[in-house]
Amino acid sequence: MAAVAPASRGTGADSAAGVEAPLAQALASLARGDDGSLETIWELMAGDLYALALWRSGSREDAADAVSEVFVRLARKPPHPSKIARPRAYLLAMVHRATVDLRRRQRPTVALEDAFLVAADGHPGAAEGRRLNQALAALPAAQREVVYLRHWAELSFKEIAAVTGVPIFTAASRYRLAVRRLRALLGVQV
Amino acid sequence: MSNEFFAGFRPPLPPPGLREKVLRTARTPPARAPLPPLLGRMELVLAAAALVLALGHVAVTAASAPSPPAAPPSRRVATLTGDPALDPLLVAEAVRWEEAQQRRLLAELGL
Repeated sequence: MAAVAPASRGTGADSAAGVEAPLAQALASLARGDDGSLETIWELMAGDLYALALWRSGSREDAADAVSEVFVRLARKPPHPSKIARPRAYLLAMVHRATVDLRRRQRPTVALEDAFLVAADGHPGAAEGRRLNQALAALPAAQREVVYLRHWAELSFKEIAAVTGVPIFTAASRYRLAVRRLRALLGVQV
Repeated sequence: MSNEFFAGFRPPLPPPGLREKVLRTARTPPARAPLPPLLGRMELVLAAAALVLALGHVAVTAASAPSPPAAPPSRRVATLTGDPALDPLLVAEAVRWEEAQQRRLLAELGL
């Protein structure tokens, strides 16, 4: 297993693209039976997988369960590398499905209002963060998920459509509705 | 929308301890599910009830139906009709028919 620096999240297309190659190598290594690759995959993708599951489910427990489900599936039935064109999108789709399945099996819960975003290092805005989280909590889960995938995971709408299993038009429409509602909730002028 | 809403904020990281828990769970071989019992309680009750009914039916049938008298071995001969009383009548009719056919044939031949 190669040592890998943890991937930064949502800081630019370069960082996202920089994850693809080592992630593809780790998945190929896993398919050859090296379960040490799971740690590499964790370092590269855990942040995105956990955050996407959290934004979709609104539950820390469900997010942790969904991430765990993804790694259990990877370990027990590693995907063949030839089936994976975009490793990041592949894993994000896995956690999307795991989260949706979990939500189907459980009672819906009230979305958290303090968990979707935290202040970055050195940023003091507690009140602003509370308003942001309340606005995000007011969004439908599917719209909030698209916002995460577009803004933080930096996927194209084509990739978002593939990850969430909806047509491209639907993915773009969800994003547009989410942004419009966030602007209204936060009082941002267009 | 890049920094329109989210400047200075980031999504939370996975909680401490989740990494070890997830990797340990992923590496744990799946537990074998116990084999299901061959018959459940309800199936067992139904099977027992069916067996009791079948045995009762056999017992009642055997008690109520008179057994036919067994024929003595000497009378077990092949018969034409299955009824020994009819055989002589059938044979006599066949003989009459054969004689009538012969007479008709002789008449046709002028003999």
